[in-house]
Amino acid sequence: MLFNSVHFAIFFPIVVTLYFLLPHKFRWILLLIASYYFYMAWIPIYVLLLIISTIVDYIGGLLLDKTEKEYKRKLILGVSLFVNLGILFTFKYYNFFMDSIEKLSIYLNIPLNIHYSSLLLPIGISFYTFQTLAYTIDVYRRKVKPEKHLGIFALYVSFFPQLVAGPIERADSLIPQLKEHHNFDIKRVSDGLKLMAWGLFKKVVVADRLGMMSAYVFANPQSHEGPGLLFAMIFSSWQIYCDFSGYSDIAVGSAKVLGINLIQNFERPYFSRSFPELWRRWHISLMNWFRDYVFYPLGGSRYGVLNTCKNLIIVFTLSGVWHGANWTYIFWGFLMGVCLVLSLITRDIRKVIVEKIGLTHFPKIHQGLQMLITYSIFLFFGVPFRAEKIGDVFYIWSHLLTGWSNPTRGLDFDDFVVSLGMPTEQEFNSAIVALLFLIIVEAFQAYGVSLREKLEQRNIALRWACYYIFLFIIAFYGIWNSSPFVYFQF
Amino acid sequence: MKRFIPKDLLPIILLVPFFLFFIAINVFIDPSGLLRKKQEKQIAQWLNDGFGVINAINVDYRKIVKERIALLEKKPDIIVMGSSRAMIIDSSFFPDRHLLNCSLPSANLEDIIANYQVLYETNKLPEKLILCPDLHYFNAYAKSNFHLFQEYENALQRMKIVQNITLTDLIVKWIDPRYFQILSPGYFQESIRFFPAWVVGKIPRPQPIEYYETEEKVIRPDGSIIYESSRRQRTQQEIELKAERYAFKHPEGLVNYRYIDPTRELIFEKFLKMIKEDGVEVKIIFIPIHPRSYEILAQNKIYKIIIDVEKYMRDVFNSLDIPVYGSYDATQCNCVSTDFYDAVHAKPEAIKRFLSTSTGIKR
Repeated sequence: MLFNSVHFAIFFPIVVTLYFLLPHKFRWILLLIASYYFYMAWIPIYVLLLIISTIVDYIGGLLLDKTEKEYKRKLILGVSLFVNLGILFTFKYYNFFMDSIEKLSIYLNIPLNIHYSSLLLPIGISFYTFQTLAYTIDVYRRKVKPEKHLGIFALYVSFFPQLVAGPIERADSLIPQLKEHHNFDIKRVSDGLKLMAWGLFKKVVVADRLGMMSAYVFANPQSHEGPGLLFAMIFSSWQIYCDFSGYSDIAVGSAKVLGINLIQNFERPYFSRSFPELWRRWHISLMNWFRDYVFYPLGGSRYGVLNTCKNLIIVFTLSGVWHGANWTYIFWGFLMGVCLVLSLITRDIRKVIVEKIGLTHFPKIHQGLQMLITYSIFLFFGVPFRAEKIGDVFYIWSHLLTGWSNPTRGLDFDDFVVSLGMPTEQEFNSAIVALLFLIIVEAFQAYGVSLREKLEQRNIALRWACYYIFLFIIAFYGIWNSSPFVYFQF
Repeated sequence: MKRFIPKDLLPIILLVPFFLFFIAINVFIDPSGLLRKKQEKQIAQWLNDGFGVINAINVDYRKIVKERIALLEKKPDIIVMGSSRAMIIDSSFFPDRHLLNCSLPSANLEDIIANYQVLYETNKLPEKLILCPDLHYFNAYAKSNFHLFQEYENALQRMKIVQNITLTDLIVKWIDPRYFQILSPGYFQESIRFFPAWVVGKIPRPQPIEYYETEEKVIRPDGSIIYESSRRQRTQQEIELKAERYAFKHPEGLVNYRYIDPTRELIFEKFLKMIKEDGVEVKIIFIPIHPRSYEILAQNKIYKIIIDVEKYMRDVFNSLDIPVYGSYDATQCNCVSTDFYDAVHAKPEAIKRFLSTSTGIKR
């Protein structure tokens, strides 16, 4: 079920109403049924995978708690990792693995009879697998106590707001909240609904509109030159951000309505002043996961600069693998790791240069330049994330400077934007206006000014007039063909 | 009174008028006539009386076809079934025969089977069935709930196929999924666009016409359509742009088409056998898609499945001795870019041309 569908518009109010009408002791049952229904609205049979993960980690958690012998505990952890990662590999990476073997065999001229799987990728599998893995590892580390209530644990794995695209929640944060009694608190409900509306705006008004151009150009980059490619890269970067952060906002908002606080997954990453800062603000729950379960166990930033660099590159390459079974994602992850390493090792040199040229005397300009450079690096090295083939990545990079003597290729501007995949120039203009509005709101937030809070201080008539206009804009200017969220595929 | 409207509920109460406004706009303007139940029956009556119909935008073609079949006084000689791509096949393709084109826009396999069942249940099975299958029939992701649900179930029972029913299937069995459009923001957008016309009482509603020389899209009495002039007069450049866009922008029905769904294979094969057992002669026309679209799709790592889909269908038809004409690959049918209105809709002249070089289609 998509958050931007009529199906969800009917489902959610029914769940919320029943949730607050039911006595506390029955609420987990309602949420569990609702969560399974939410997942089964896609391919019902895949709920079995969710059930397998749930049972394996539930039993694993209980056994880990009862077992003292270290080798037995390691064995239990190993079984849990094997089952969860085995399912993930079978459904997500098997065909990619076989395809790579086949290509290698052709290259080495060794004939192989490769068998491919026809299994479809279950949506959200990487998200809930990582969530259950975090639980088992935390129990193994004795950081959290195992959950004894199977129903609550099943709900922790399947809680519908964050089931298919995160945020990836930790057991010590989510499980206690699922057990708590939450009264109907209008302030919280209203905050949740506002966040949902903002997320919907990002998704249907901004992301899906920008996506028209980026999808078209990235599907066929060879037909475009520098200006078109650059437009598509910029649109694509904002599309992915608005799509995923929009999803996260709706997820966090809908959980908030039910009284549950989820982790904030994005913090205006494009306003970051350095690459490490950007990655502390982008997909925060996943980055925290990699930090706690991969980076630290590898040694983190201990044992010297070289070891830190190696660990960062490993973590980001793995993050690329997590994002998708394709060499483009792995390449993207690797490049992000390299950028991060370069950012760290050039930190002192950059400081010296900034002081030498006197930029420290103009802090606002300095900050602006830092943001621009950080975004530009992310934009440039983000191309593999969106490209369909590695060949396309190099084509785009090598053609970014072409065609600037005649940017619109001799076409009127309206024909030019149509040639980039926008249906009309008006649609392009709407995309730009929506994007500018979003950037302005986030810029205010970056300087500590919340326009929402400012509005809440106004009188009721003005406030509600603005809410109505905003809802009307979402309904009327949104693209409502229920296009899936980009991150569902991960 | 204050006790009954706690201050806590004020924001929720203030939200209600927006949603009432939203629903009211959809209900009162209702640009597609979703709530006008008799609309389809009226259109069917006009068509059976020999009139063409214009302004039949977004009407429920499934219901029109069902009503038409019910109103037919005698069995047609030939029935054509397919999607909008097949709707340009008219009586001139089969002179001196009584043809009824029962194709539907965006028809999927369920639609074809349900409509065939309507013919069976009303004892109107034709002598010959021209089936124009589409590529998306075997895509597990291309499921739609808009087909005639009861007739489809009856057909499955005739084929002795037991299918798992999902909760959504159960809901749409009792509530016509069209009514959910009343809650749809997409429908709201459409309603707002028609708002000025609604205010002055000029929302274009379906109308009968006697002559087809018009700029509007016309449904003709034989069920075929003549496209609106804006589509007929597209320049070559516009058509090619549309062809490229279609293929590069996740084509409708083909998204996530990673394999040929075995359940649909089974249903399709049993359906063909059932038609043969009913004594109806079947002929297949693969209507080509634009050569540029085909070229792009055939090179895409997911969409290249269209080649396998056509091969699979050909194998099935061959095994059942069902004659096949045409191909999805326009080059196989000697069709060029000018033979198309857009990416997937071929012009009738093009279909006539490649059929004229085949033997047997008119027999």
